[in-house]
Amino acid sequence: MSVVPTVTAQSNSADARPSGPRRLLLGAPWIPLTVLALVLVAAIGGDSLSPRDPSGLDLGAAFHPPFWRAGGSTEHLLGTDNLGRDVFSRIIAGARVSVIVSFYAIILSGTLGTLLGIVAGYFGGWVDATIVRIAEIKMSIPSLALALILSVSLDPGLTTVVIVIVFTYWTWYARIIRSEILSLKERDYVAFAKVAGCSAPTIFVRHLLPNIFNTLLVLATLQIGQVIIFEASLSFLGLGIQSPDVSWGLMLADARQYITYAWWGITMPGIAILLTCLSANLVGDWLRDLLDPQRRQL
Amino acid sequence: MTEQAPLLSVKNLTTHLHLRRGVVRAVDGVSFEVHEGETLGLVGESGSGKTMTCLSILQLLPRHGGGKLDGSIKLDGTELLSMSENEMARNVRGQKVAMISQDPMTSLNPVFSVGDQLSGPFLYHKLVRSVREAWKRAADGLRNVRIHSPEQRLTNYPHQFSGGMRQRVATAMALACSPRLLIADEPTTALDVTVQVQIMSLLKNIQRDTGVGIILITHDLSIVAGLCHRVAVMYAGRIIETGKVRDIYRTPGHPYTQALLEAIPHLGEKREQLTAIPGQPPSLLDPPKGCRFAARCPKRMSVCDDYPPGFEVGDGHVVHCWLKADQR
Amino acid sequence: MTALELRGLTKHFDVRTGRGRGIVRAVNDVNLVVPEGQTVALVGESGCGKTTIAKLALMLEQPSSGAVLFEGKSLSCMNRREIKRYRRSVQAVFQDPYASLNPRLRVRSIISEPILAHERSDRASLRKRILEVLDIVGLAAIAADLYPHEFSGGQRQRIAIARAIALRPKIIVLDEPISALDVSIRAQILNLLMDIQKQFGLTYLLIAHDLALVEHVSTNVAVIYLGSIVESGPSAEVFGSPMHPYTRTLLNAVPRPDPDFVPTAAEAAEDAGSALEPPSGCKFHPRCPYVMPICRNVDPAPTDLPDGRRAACHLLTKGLANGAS
Repeated sequence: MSVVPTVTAQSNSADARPSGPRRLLLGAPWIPLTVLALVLVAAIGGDSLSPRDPSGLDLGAAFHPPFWRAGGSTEHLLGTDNLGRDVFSRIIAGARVSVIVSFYAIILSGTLGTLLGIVAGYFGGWVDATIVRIAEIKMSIPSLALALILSVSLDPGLTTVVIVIVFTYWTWYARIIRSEILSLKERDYVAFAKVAGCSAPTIFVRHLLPNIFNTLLVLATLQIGQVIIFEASLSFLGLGIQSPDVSWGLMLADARQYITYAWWGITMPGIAILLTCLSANLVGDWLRDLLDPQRRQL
Repeated sequence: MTEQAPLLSVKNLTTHLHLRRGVVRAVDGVSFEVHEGETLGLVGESGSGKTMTCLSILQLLPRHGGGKLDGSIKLDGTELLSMSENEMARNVRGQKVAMISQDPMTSLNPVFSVGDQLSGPFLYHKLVRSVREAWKRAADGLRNVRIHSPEQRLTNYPHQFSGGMRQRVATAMALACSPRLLIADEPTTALDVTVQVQIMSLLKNIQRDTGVGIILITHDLSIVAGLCHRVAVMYAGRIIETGKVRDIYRTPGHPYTQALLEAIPHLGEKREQLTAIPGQPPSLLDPPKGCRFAARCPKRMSVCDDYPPGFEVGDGHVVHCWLKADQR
Repeated sequence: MTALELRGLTKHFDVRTGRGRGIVRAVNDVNLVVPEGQTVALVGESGCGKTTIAKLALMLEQPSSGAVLFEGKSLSCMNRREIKRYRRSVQAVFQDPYASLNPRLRVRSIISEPILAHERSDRASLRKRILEVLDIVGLAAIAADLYPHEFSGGQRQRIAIARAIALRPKIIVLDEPISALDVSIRAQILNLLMDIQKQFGLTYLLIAHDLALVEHVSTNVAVIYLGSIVESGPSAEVFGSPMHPYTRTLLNAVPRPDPDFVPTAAEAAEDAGSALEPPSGCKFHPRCPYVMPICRNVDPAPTDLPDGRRAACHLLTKGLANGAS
């Protein structure tokens, strides 16, 4: 051999970076991570963390403003709603529903959609045609109408909300993952893996899954926001979470008609939804960079 | 030809690019001239700065990269570097200096017919009074690039043309406003050899008819041989050798040029092993102080730690190599 | 010994065009023998079907008719065990070193992929084998733990070659192995490929459009035009005295690093026809400078020539070949 090239310059600089667990912490988005951690703690801790009973009625204390406004007190940090329930406590209690719904809805719809997308994209032919047709039929029905039909045929509640959301969102994943797989399977390295004699499961796990991971992560983090809003609209229509259970969506629905003189009733859960969605997106971006070998060493 | 003032004169052009990993001098003190009716071959491998040189002439550097230009670029005696963006867009780009690229699809819009696109420049630069006239000029353009029955083909869309035909259309577009200078960036790399020959002879004929100056960018020395009058070889941001095409091929002065000529197999001469150039080009983030080819050069000397000035070894044949120091 | 044989190999694709369905005749009745330890090159313009032939040989596509024979046995008649053995014996290097390596895997995982697909290997011996092939292709051991994006194009192609030879195959299909690389790097990779061919007695099926490269490395060559072989035989013969007008057209068009060489651009030579609607008779007749009436109607049958060559041209059967040149 006439030449023994050395490794290029970029790689040397990469060696100087911290490796292992320390690298994980490099440039982590601390604020969004903290927000998500707080939401998680609230979801797990639930009632025991709430300063007051989230569904305790106290009509005498209705429409207390937050503590920094005239007439507010530290007794009700973020004020009270039309029935005198403590908004802060209800936000903490509502986190549980949001987390549970997002968690199950994303895991289930993501898994179902991704599997169908991979199968459709990779095998093609009649399998692909069948899955695509079913997805198209589903998408031709307005999702809220579908949700309404499902909700009235099932009992309203948490499980129904999850089922409705999974049923609505799997096509999201299936369609996008299918098209990703269609382009990925034409890549030379997939062709080479076939030439090397790798089995279809090996190709899935080694070459397809890691390369659709970015897309999955982005879809999932975007879906968190959508799921929370979707749960809110279902609850608003009275088809989702039922009182005395609490959810952020239900709080929005309850407080909507009093928005002109008790803005905090709708603003506070709104901020909670906003912060959670935003944090989820930011953490998703960070995870994507962290898991991409090309980005993390630049 | 040489007595005339040059059409394009680039002096000490330096292009800084701000990348995430540092500032790169993609073009580092490059000087050359192009005369009317002359073709200059700008040869170098990817990353050598040949494309960046031409983008600098057109001032089309990536904006977010914060490209900064130093030196002087004179077209017909007018300094381009002091021109405003507006002036460049209105009077220079597409008007006086046109460009054709490797992939003609990038310069053609797939949703408009070729006629719409070819007539565009005439209307934009207000060279014609009516759309009908613009289309007539467009048909003339297609005729000039030897496309048969141009009137009918004007109504076709880019995807209805084959690769070679598309490059002809792109060339017709570039020539629409009768530019003084045509920059051809690897115009035939994506094409088959048979089509490549046709495009090259087309460029030659157009130059004979219009006297346009051409800068032909390529990584392949064999392509430029038949078409160029002069050749400049670039390596790691600098021109390391320049001269008349015969001098470059018959008596290459720089070890890099010699190696390039020996590293490629030639038709009709069977060799056991090709002379490979060991190693990789240097990183432009941290280029060596001295001769940039030194690390890969078989004839390296201690003096190579200093950058060699240009030594003139023949009529207009300049070599940046210390080996030529005694021949001066 | 014959390593690989293509017998009557044909591949048609059904496509939907603007005007309904059509058939792309990508490969038509291709017959070719690849002798062991030699390099056989397939040359032709883009879209001529040479890459489809490579895919058929790699079992990435199934032929419409005809067969690829490995050690005398057709791939389509093989049972699972024989297919596994074939996969072991045939590897590939593709054109684009950026697309052929999975960006999410480290070099060691990339190279170990074919090994792990075929045998159980413990970590230590696997590591040893990885370092061994890296050394063969001229990369340092540290490369094993890096990702593809940390390498230049030439180095990536070395990794692709390391992966291809990891299983010690008999045959490697090289699909334009150097055309995506910089000129100054090409010779390195070409020399490497020729070295390992000698070292391991490899058989190469080379797909290329660069005729100078093909002449340099191949022992036999097959010139393909719109899916059919128009001329094949020992490289020295084909390049030295091309028989088919298409071979001549191709050779004349090759650029040479010589300012005084003027390539003959056949002005009449339109672009290559389409495999979707191939011309009648001899497919090359619309571009052929020696076209005769018979060429428009009758597709010429391949003729065996005394020097071991086969060519398909009416000029040969009429004994006019020399007169025309």
